[in-house]
Amino acid sequence: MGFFSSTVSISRYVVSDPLPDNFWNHAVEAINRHHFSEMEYSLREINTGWVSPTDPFKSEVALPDISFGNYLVVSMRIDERKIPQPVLKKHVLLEERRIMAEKDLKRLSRKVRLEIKERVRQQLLAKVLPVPHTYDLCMDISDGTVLFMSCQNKARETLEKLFYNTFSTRLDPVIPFTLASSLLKDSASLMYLNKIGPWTWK
Amino acid sequence: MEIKQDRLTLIQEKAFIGREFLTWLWYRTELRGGVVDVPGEGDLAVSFERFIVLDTGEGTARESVTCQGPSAELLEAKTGLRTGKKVARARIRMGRDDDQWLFTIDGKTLDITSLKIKRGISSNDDEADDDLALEARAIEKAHMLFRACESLDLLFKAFMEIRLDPDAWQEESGNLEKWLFPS
Repeated sequence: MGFFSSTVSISRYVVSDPLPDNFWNHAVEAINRHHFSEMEYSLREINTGWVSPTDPFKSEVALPDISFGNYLVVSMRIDERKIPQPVLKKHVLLEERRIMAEKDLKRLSRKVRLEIKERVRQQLLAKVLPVPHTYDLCMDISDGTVLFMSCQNKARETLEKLFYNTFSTRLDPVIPFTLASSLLKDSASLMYLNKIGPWTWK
Repeated sequence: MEIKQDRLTLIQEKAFIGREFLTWLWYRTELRGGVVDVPGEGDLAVSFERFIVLDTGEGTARESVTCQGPSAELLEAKTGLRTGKKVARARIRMGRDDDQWLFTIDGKTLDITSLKIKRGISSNDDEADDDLALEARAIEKAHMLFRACESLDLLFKAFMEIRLDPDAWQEESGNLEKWLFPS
């Protein structure tokens, strides 16, 4: 359910610091610096980066790919390799047995077993094809409000890190309390907002 | 990590604000037959679309109930309200001027899911490959998504202004109770 889909899911943010006046000059370079890299696949379980919202497999983005009037539209791509637990367990067990037989041992220390597990995991990761996912982001650069087209916690956490690394500014989530704080300007209301508890029927 | 913890604490401690907002919004939509007056803005058309989740809030004793289906008419949901639950999630149709959206909103986070733009956007897929058409479509879509959020914010602000005014809230909550428990 991406930005261009007929149905979307939205979690909202605001950028914590004002965006620079020459935002577009800097945006393409910053996004390409953190562009998704196919070259970095190797043995990583998760690989993330920005991609074009209309072509997630392009090697870099150009201004027309992401700039639509006052809006920045860009996709975060997450490629993830997953080894099913039963598969990992089976291969670790086989390797442990092989080593015990080879060295004529009755058992292995915890340290050796952990080393085997990690080595087997790395070997299996190289054989697993990563599954790509994309999540679109739309930012109104006139006021730094951001709509992220996913409500999944894991995707949101990844976005917050990637956005900070890219633009050196934090994304603050919009939740009822923060929204109320931003909409109400007078200090008396804000103080009262901090104090109130849930209302119950009489 | 600290930021994440702060956010979680805030979400949990003040989650009732969002639930109260949705509960109030439901009351307001019934008060004037699907129209909610927003001070300084005028009327917004809002209706609850027969999917409501009610709950009692946070904690281990949390109870929730889901009411949905075309014939439910939300009577069960209203019964749930009378037992102290509030609206935790709801499917809402919202209209502003000529634009209209249908979406599900979560009171705890204000996250929006399954949002469809029902009116206010052109559906010209034939031109999707053309760069200019794509740009126009993106701008139109972004505008409509932000407008949906902005309209929700207007409703939320209208609620908060009443909620944070003790006199106004006393009157409003009294009327809300009369709506819930008609004599």
